[in-house]
Amino acid sequence: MPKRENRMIYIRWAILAVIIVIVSLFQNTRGLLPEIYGVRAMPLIPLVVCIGMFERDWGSAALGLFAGLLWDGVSAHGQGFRSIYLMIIGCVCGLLLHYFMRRNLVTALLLTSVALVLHNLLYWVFFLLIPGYDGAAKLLLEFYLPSCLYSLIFMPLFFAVMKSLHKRFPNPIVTNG
Amino acid sequence: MRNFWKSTRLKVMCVVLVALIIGSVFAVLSQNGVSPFSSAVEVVFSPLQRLSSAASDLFGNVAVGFRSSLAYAKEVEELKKQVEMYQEQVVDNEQLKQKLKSYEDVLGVKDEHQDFEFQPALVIGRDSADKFYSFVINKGTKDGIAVNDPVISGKYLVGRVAKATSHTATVLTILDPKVNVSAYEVRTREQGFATSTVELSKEGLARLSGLERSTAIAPEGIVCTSGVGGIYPRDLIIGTVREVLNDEHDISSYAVLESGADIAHLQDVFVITDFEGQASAQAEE
Repeated sequence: MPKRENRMIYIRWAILAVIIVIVSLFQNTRGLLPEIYGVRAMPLIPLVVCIGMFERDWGSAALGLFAGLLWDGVSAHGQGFRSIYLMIIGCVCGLLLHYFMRRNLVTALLLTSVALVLHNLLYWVFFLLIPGYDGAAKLLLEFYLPSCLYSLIFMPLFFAVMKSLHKRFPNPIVTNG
Repeated sequence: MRNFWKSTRLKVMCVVLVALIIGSVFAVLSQNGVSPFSSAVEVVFSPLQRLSSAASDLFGNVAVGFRSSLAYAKEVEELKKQVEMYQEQVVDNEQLKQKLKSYEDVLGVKDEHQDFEFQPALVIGRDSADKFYSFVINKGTKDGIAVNDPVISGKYLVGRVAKATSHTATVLTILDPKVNVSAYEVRTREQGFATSTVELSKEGLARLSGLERSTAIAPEGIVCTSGVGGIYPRDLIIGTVREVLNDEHDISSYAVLESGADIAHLQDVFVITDFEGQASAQAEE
C-alpha cells in the first residue's frame, strides 16, 4: 500500500479513536446526556455500527474492541461483555457491508437497531433474568427497549460524520456502497 | 468471504477474543474483579473521565438565561448577568453547604467509630446500561481501596466497592438487588437483611427483608448495619422505615427503607478502607 494511503488510514483511525473516547465520556458521565423518563442513551453502539460500515472487518473489530474496553471500565457487571460484544459487532458490520450489503441510511438503521436490541437483550438476560431479579421483565419494557429507541437517534449523526470522514480520508479497500 | 475465513486477521481476532475471555475469567477469579485489559484502559482514561465529570458539573451549574426584545436588550443583559452571578453564588453556597454537611456527618461517624479509615472520593462516571445507579469513583487500589470496601455518603451507607483498578473503583449501590446487607432496626433490635428490588430501586428505595409477620417495626424507625459478615461495619445508617408490608411470596414481612443519601445523584462519597473486624472477615472469605 502506498505511503500516502497508509498515512490516511492512520489519521482516520486516530480521529475515530478520539470520537470513540468523546462518545464514551458523554455516555458514561452522569448529566452530559439527558435522561428521558429515566431512559438512558447508549450511543457507543450506533457509533461502532457506523464505524463498521465504513471500515473493513479487522479495523472495525479493533475499534469496537477499544470502545468496549472503555465501556467495561465503568461497568460493575460483566467483565469483558462489552469488549467482546462490540468487537464482534464491528467485525460483523464490516463483513456484511463488504460482501453483502450496500452502505446507506436504511442499512445503517437496520444494523443499528439489531445491534442495540441484541445488546440490551443479552445484557438483560445475563445480568437481570438469569440472576433472578423480581420485575426484570418490567425493566426490559420500561428501560432497555426504550433505550434502544433513544440510542437510535444518534445513528444519523454518526453516519453523516463517518461519511464525511470517509470522503476526506478515503479507504481504498472498502469497495461497497 | 472465503479469503476472510483463511486470513491471518481472523486468527488474530480469534486470539484477541480468547484473550478477552481469559481476561474475563481472570476478572471473575481475581480479588479486584477487574480484567487486565480494563485495568490498563482505566489507567489511561480515568483522568479524561474525571475531566468530563468536572465539565458536566460546570454545565449543570450554569444558569440558562432568557433573551428579551431588542428595546430592552442592554438593560436585560446587565440584569441577566447579575442574576446569573447571584445564581452561581447561590449554587456555589448550596454545594458548599452540602459538602460541609457531608463532611460534618462523616466527622460524626469518625468520632463514633475511631477505628474507621476513610478515603474521600469523587463520583466520575456511571454505566448507562445499569439501572441500579452503580458508579465509578476517582480512587483505586493505589489509595488503599479494595473490593467489598463499604462506601458512605455523610452518615448513610450507599454501597460497596465491586471492582477496583489502580486509579478508579466501581461501586454497587444498596439499590442493586445483588447487594445484601445484614441489618437491624435500632428501636426494636429486630434483625433482617437490607436489599432492593427492581420496583423499589426505581424510586430510590430499599427494603429490610426477613422480618416476622408480628414485627414491631414502625414507620420512621432507623435501620443500621449489624456488622454480621464483616463486609460492613456495625451501626452505619442504611435508611429510615417508610412503611411495613407483608411479603407476597412467604409468611415474612418487610420494611420499605428510604435512604437519607440521594443515591441517584451522588457527587462525593467516602470509602471506609479499614475498620475493626474487616481484616478477619476478609481472611475468612
